[in-house]
Amino acid sequence: MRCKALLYRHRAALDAILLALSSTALFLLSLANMAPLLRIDFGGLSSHALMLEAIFDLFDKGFVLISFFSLLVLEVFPWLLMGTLALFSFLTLLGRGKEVAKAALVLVEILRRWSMLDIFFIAILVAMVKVYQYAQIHFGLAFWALGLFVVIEVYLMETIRIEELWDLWERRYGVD
Amino acid sequence: MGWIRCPYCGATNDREDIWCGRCGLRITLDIRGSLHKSLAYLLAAVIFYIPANLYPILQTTKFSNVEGSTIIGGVIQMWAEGDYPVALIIFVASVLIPLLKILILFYLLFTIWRRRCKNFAQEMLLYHLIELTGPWSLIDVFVVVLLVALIHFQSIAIIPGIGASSFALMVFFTLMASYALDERILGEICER
Repeated sequence: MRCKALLYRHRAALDAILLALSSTALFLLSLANMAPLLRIDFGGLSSHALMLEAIFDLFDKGFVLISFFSLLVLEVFPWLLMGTLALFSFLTLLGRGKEVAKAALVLVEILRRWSMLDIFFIAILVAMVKVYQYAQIHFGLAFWALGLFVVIEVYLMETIRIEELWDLWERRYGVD
Repeated sequence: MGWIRCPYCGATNDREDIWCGRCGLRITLDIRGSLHKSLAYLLAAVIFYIPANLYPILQTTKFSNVEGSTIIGGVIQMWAEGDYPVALIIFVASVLIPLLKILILFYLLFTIWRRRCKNFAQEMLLYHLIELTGPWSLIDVFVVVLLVALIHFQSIAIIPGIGASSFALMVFFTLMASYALDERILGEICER
């Protein structure tokens, strides 16, 4: 009433939806890491970029801080976030592991702010605009996988509120 | 007797409780602690804002000639080349949002410090605005990460500048400042 924010929403089969989407996101994230994101052809020369390679390249050039930060927000946290969501939904579907599911939800609340692949995806588009005048750009499989991952991540983080997940946890395991 | 919302799981708890009955995390309102932590992070962000804008964010080496480009320089160059949408995105994400975020955070901290609130809805809107837009300032840092990996030929290569590290630190500290600011305090002050 005071700030006009939504207080409660009930979604049917939330745990099944979560499991399906988070597992798909994990699969897409592995694809996004295995294949090149982009390939550019520049005056007869060719170059491509893999996500992890890009991060470690910075480390090699002495930019340890940006490299470490990028490793956390572009690799470690997104993997952990989707893995934790998958684990939580799996446990609630089985109705087992009350304390583990609780710890998973606490971790989700912390990690959701620090997963930044959606921003990285827009950064790829900006980088393309910067180089398209000088080089030919080819999209890699990882680019499309990352795009789909971002759609799923944004859907999960923006439409499913953490309170809904806690309500699901309470319904499955009961309140002490 | 009153109620307090858990900032982590949203459960309603007794005001006297220290730990949330549902998630088990600490729920007490620490106005001074939140104010001090947030202000410390914000001051660190202001310090890094200066080198982030003065030093080049990326450097292009063409046949051993090194050319640096600051954030503003990059925006101006893109605008001059006719890439208006991208110039606008970079200007908004890398110049406008960090500056607005710092100003809004100072305003919110000042509101908490004075313990006076003009308009709760407006203050919450400002809080959610900085929370939502804050991480988007990292676009420029990620563009650098990508360009460094893509363009590393013998004749031309891109390397990050000092500005990139300062900019990443500045965004990190503004994020920490907004996360350290407990939004429930704003509600508490406005309710009085």
